[in-house]
Amino acid sequence: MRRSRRFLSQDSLYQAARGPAVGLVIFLAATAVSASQLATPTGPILLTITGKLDRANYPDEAVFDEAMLAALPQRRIETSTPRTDGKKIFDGVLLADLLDFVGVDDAQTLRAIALNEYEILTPVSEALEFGALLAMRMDGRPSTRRDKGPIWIVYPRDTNSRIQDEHHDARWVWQLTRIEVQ
Amino acid sequence: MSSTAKKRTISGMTIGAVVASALLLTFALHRLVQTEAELATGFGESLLYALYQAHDEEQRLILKAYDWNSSERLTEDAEQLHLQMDLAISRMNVVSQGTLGPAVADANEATVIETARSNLMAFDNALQAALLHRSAIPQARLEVLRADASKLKAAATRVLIAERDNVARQRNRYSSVLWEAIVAIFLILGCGIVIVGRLLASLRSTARAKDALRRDRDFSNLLLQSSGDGVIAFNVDGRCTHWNSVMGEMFPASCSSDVVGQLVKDAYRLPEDHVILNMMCDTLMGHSLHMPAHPLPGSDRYVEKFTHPVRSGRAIVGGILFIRDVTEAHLARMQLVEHRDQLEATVKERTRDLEESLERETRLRELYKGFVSMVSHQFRTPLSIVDSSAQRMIRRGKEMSEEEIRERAGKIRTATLRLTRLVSSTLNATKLDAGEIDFAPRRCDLGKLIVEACERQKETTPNRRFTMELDQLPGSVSCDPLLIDQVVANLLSNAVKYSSPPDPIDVMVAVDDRWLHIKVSDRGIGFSKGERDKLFERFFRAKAAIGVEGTGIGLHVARTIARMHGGDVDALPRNGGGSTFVLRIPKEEALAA
Repeated sequence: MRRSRRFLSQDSLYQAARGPAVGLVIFLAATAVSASQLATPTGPILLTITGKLDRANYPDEAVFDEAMLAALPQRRIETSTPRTDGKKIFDGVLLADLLDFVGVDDAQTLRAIALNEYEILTPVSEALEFGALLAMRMDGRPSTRRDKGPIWIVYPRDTNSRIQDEHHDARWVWQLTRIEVQ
Repeated sequence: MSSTAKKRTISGMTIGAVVASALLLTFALHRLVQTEAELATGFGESLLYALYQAHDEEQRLILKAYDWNSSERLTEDAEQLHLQMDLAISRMNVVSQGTLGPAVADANEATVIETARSNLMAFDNALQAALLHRSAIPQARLEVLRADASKLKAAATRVLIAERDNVARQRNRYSSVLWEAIVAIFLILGCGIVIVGRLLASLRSTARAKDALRRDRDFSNLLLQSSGDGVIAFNVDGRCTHWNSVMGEMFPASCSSDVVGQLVKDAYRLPEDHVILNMMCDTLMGHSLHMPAHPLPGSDRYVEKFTHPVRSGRAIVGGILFIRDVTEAHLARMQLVEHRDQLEATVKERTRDLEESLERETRLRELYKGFVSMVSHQFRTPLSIVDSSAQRMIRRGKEMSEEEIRERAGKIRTATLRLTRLVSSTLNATKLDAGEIDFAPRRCDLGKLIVEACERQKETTPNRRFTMELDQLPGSVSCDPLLIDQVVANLLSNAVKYSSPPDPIDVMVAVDDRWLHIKVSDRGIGFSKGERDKLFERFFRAKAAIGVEGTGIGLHVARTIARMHGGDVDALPRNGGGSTFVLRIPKEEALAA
């Protein structure tokens, strides 16, 4: 947890810290070369997925930087949110695409964890059914940590009355940093 | 209050109860929905949580800032401090911006939050500079932040208390709404009880009506079954609607199942033009029919049929057919007719008897009249001869010569003989009529008998000539010779009496396969057609015979004797004038048989 915590605390302001991190990544990739079909991140780590994965870049871990996430299919949702005024346009990666990408089978539950240690369990089936999006841009601008970034789990709330309540609103995890697949 | 008005009032009450229930239910639901909406709009908890988060991250920032000031200020520390700064700002944004903004304003905490946020942004500027230069953060900035943290905590406390008050108020309101709902539910329950009561009452009255209907129907069936007549009712389709067991006994249905509900035609397998179907058809057209007593096919019973149309208002809805067993009455009537016929026959017989008696009496009177007339004529003449001869003899006395005396005495004797003959023949006829003459048939020579009779007649009337054809006569004939002799003598004497010399008298015998015909013909005065049958009556004298001596008995006696032999005597006019009398007697064989 220390290690991952260290990667997660990196910021673009501190590119100088990149050297040791890259070395460590190469070391870890060498030890688990057979399990890793996933590219090694080169930028600051934004998201870590743990659990039984078919594709990973560390043992039981898939770690993404901004470029890796941007390489995945980008989707857009336009919806109002429980945390902002008015409608917002969100761009990012569908949770379904991401889980497909890392090869998650038979997963029941997702534990989503934020930078401030907020965490919540979500059934995988519901997250996929309701179209969860890992949004990285709001209204065309990249999200920052000060404004619920860099990753915010959003749902198309306006078009689905079933998720318009506090129970489902609690699944809108912002400042997302980690997903544990169980 | 009339029953209609009462029913209307009860219906009004029921409808009122239903409407009231609907209104109360709508009211209660509206209140509950309203309360639910109020529940959903509470922001107190969220605001409290956001304030706690903002306070917590600010405290952590303060701690990290003190660590920074007192530590070696490594890059790692800088990263952590920067992250904490971001987290603190993001939390402060949550409180001051987005959906919680209005809630903060409502709680009158906007000023505190705004101050805290601007102080935090000022701290951020100082922090960025310190991180850049790896220098210490000014103590004054930290003090401001600490003061803000305290204020955030105080604001959280105020929000909590306000929230508690709010919750208490809400609970009170929910409580009152709940009571309203409970009262409404009780009222609905009351209305429900009224409605259910009405429903039960209506069910009960329906059941009573059904019961009455069933009783009526049972009674109707009882009436139907009690009838001694066969009854079958049918609707306009010809389908049986009612039927009693008497009908079943009289007309067993062809099908085994119940006749009711079936077409009468099918139940009895009647052909299309059956008389009952025709009657039903006419009945449905509005005619009442009656078929008088007639025998029931295949039995010795007699029945009558009646039909009447059944009307509902002016429309004909069916018909009813009665079949009555009238065997007893019919037989009694038949017996009566038979008795009447018998009586009529008896009366007719009696009438005939009476008429016959009357006729006999009339004939008898005629007979006596004839007898008296005959006696007055036939007896008077010889008596007057006797009288006149006697007077002459008295008047002449001794002057009479012996010859004259002999002549007169001869006349007296002739008259006396004639009288004797008259008396004897009358007596003979009487004896014959009374059946006192013995009939003794035997074989005799009829030819000889006829010849002798002619000889005797010649002795009396020597001036008459007889021709005889007796060739066909058989050698002997079975008859009573004494009686037949009398018949032949009578016929010969008649022929002599009613014809005059020199005309001959023909006697001829003819024979056919059964009969002997002995014909005696004269050429005399004959008889008229109307007298033919009367000739053989006793004491009858033909008109042409007036002045001729005779009793009117001879032919009657002749016929009586011939009939005793199984034959007859008949009178025929002779060709060329005169008459022929035929004695007919059976030939030997026939008689013997």
